[in-house]
Amino acid sequence: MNEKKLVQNFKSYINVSLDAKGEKNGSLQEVKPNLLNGELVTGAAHSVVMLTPLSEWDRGRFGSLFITNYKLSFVPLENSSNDEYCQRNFLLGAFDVPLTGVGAVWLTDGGPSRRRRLMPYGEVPGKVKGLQVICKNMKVLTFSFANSPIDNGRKIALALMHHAFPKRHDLLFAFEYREPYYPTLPSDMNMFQRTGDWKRELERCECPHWRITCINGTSDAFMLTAGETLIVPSSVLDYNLMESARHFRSGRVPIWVWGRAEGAALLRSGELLPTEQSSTAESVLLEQVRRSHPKLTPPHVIYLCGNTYTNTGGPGILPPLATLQTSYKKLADLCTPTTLGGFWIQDSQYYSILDSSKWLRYVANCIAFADEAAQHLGNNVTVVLQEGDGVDYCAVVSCLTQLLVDPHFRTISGFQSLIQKEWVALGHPFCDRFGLPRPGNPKELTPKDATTAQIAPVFLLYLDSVWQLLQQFPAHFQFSETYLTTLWDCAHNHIFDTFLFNCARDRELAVTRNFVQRPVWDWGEQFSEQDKALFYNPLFMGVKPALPSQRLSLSPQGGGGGAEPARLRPASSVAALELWAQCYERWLLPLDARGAGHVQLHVHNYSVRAEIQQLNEKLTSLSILSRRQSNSDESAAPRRRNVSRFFPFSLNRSDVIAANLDSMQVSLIDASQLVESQSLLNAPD
Amino acid sequence: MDKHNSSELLSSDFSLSKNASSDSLDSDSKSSSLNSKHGQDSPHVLGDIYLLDGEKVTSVARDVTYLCPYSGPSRGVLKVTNYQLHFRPTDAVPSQGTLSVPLGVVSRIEKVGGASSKGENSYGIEIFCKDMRNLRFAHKQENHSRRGIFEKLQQLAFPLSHRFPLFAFSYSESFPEDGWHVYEPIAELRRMGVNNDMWRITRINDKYEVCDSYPSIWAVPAAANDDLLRAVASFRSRGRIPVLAWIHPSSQATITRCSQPLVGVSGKRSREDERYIQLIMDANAQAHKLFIMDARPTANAVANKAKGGGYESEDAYQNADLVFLDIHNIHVMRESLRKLKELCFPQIDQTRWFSGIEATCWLKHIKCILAGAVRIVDKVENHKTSVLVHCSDGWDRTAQLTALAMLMLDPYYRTLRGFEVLIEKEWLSFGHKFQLRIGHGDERHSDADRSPVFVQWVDCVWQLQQQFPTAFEFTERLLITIVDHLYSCRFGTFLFNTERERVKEEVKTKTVSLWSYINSRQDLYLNPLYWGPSSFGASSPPSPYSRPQVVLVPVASLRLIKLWKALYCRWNPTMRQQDPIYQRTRELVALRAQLEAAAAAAAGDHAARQHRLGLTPPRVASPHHV
Repeated sequence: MNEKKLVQNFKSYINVSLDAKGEKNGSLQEVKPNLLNGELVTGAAHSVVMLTPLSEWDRGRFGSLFITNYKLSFVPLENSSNDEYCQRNFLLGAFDVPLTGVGAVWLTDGGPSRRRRLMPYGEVPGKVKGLQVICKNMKVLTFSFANSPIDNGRKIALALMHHAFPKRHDLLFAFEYREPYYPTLPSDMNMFQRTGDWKRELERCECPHWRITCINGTSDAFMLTAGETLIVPSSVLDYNLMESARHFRSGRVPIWVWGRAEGAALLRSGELLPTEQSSTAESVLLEQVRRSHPKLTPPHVIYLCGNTYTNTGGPGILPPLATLQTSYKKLADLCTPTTLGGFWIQDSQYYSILDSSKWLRYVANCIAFADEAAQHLGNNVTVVLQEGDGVDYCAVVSCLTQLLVDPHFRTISGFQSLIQKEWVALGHPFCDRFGLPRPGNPKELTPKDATTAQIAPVFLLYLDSVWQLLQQFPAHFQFSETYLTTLWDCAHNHIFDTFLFNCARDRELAVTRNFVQRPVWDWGEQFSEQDKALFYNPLFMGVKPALPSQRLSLSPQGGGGGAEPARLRPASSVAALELWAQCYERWLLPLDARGAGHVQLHVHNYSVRAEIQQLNEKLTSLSILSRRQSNSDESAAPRRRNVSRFFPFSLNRSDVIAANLDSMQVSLIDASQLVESQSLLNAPD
Repeated sequence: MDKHNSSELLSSDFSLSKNASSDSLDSDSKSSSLNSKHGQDSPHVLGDIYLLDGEKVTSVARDVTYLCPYSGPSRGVLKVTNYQLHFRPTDAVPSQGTLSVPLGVVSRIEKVGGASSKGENSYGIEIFCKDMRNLRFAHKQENHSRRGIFEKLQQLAFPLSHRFPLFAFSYSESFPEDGWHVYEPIAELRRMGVNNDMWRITRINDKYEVCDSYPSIWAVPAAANDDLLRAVASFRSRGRIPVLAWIHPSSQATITRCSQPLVGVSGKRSREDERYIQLIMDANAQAHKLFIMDARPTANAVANKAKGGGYESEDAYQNADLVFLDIHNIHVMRESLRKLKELCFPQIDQTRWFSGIEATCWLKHIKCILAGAVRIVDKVENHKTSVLVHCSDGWDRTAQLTALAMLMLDPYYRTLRGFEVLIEKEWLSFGHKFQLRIGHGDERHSDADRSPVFVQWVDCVWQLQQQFPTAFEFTERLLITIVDHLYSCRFGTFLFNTERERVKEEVKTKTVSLWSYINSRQDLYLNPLYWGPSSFGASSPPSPYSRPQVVLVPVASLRLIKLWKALYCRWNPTMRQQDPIYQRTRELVALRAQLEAAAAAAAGDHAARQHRLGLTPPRVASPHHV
């Protein structure tokens, strides 16, 4: 009986209801995508059907599909008011995907079931009936070309594969985008691009025992993947650094990233190379680190991937990048079911699949390491993080540690500065990890090269860990979960340069060739004020008072004013973590419902905050006896909204609830799974 | 600390109270200001133990070691009263407070080790609790030091097995409101518009003679006379005939509940039962069909024929569609929760946490129940069709389904008082066997009648709360408090099996209602996010369509159904919620209220001043209402 029910759900999509729309073929040519300055259409298919994801019915939208040098864009034939996400992007429409956001492309028979995967640089078959695009942000788009002019499917597939997986870095659209850019970054944001930026950070942390060296900007540079400015113990000579660098992977000697006025500092480094004198070189450097502590306390070294010398390791360490990527793929499979039947089959094994992906275990390990580091820093002990090339997990754990100990980084501009410092300036290889071609490589990429650079979602691991902290400390961060999710989306929008290079050197090289830097942090480039407002966490208590006009004190948790804010002590047990549903599951329509989900809390608090602000303004205007009447704002009082679970990433749909009711398949649960022994089944009630 | 804290004491392990108890969910350390008096009288302080009215210390054991699985052993004094087990460490470690556990939660007490056992702390007693934890105490090995306390514990934890009354009959605290008046069956039926053309109230069961496990007042189809009711009762298991649970305010579609028909292997039929079902169908003019939702898996329903029960055949009951909802029986659920306890207490195995959850099947059972209730809601709300719900006896799964469906359909039940009414009506008055399922004061811990059916339903309610955080007037703190006092035996509410027994034992006069306690401090349980009609008069049912979120339709997907860690993992300090999210929201709401008041006052001043200056008075801004 179960099977029968299942089969019924796999309806044929080949005969997608055409109705009379086929007749409108004549008007199809008029449909055009919105193009940016410098954007060109490179492939188009008409009379395409975009299938409604995870729908039980033969539903879809008619329209045209375009591939440009920037994006994949579906333009529906008939516009509907339901076509907009609550969060609107100035650069991308509701059915647009930037090409760097394309994760995998599958061939289909025109229905939602996959047939086989199209590999980058591989062959495209002569006939393409349908395509399924799995985006890096877990969105799934399925197109059918059954009604399109012959060849259209193949043309689209060729254009997509060619442009979504470019062979040279300078073919990315950021190099073509002609729109002028006028930076409007917040003044308190530190980009960590110049030596002065690092000096500011050193002064902010009040760490006198460390010095800035610019040797890495000279011809003697030894740490090629980092910027020109490094902060090292004041007692160590540049010459010594150059000597020691030979013993560390990628020349990654321990460098300072954060410190407390009391003396403890946070450093990150690469693993030691198996050279003869490497451990001597390490101890010499660690001795210098110790001398930079006013109390001469020896530093504590944390081996994030285990210590190959002492063979320490165990379940708590972080995995090789390839393992992390495998884990992510399992997670992505769990979050991108393509048919409704598949969705419900996954549902019954949801927790064991989640467990087997191990994703949350790695998140837990990152948080546990950060907690360990924060604890040592709290005891005024210097911490040195060590891992591989010192550019992956080092960045994750270093950032998390700083979020736990320094409230400055929990503000939006602080958080952005932190990413600039740990990820951008210190050279996390974004191109390699995101699967983009390497910059400055004049040779065209061959399929072989593509496999040598390790793709791995290290940055996502970081954002996920931050999200977990946000869940555990909902009033301590200025940003919201919507901000983090948006940031992950934008990491795959290659108009912006922030996540487009492997290291500072590559970026500078591009800039000398007239490349325009567009930091993603200029959120106004993409979002309206209204959408940006949702980046702010209404529960945030502020490092300083969050609302300028706050009259009545909302004392932070510590209570005592002026006291040093305590470090956050996160729970790092896997059991204490949750799956980041807004980021991973927001495209799963069957889960959406009006008035549902955690987001309601935020929507409520946004409106309370807005009213508080209005009242404050009103009080101010009344107290200065202004003759202007403040009554006008009464009407502008924010109304409480009934939003859907994945707001602001849900479409403005009203039919969500009705659609769900019939699709709930209780009978998919195999009754025998639920009982251990048959005897219980037959026991008297 | 005072009496009110008993709920906190109850749920506190070594004064992780502020962390591990329900308090942590919506308040933080500061808000121990919430520990204000709950009742009227001040507590009796005797030495270092806070006693309730009617509570007496009966046994004291010194030099006992409590072996906490999280913070390690600590030495102290163990006291046993007629209500609680109380342990206070003597070595004053600030992180460790007192342990206070109502004896009602005790399921089993065992001796560990013997006089000759070797090793530290190997001799003592272990207490297995109904609330997902075990307690280990170690005694000195000399002089049978544990004997006295062990015997006292046996007696006081299992009073019914020793012919003593339950503590609820000794407890005498008085509260401003009498919770026994929360539920008045006639008033509740009136709220739903009964009597009306189609439904009437009958007192045929006034003496509990037609059905001894049903309430005295029923609502039945107006066209059914008393003779018909009696005839139907003889064809339904234990006389539990179909009666009204809920009626839709506009469509008149109903939810009715009953037990299985006595079909048997021979396939017996009852013309009266068939006619009666037809009357229920006819009472809803909107549909010409009735859905019979049998909560059981098909196989169980068939198996019941051998025992004289069974299900309605579609030949005999024309126009009725029979649906099986695949919810398993009490034994399966008990086993599932037992596995869950193994998973959550004392230590959590990180490496297989999620697959461990799956292996317990607990969440799958929850999913089944939620999905079943959603189907009922769908039929009633979207198809305007009446639904009849039953399982075998109609007091376990049936109560889960009807009460859950009513909670989804009717916002009244999502208010604090409405929720109390719902429990009184669907669970207590319709005879869910609390005494048998929980085993109050009974030492037979392995009794096959015990099962966490009610807790499972509360879990379903929590799932609804999680999915619709603004739809409930109360927070999960209320749910946890209810579960705590389900076991505690401090209140009379969950004692006995049926209304008939409660009347006979004069529960309403001899014990205190849990709702007296809860309603005296409603503010502790209110949800700051609640978005609904601010008050529901019992006489004026609000139109169900004029408000936001009238009907809740949860998604029965395991992606959304979560483990209720705040209940099942609450003894584990590493699992505690870090930050009080509701507390912060309450602060914001309070700030808004203060500003509103200030703005109103300032507007008044402003107007007065302008008036004095002889200016035309401006339009005074009215205080801003939200």
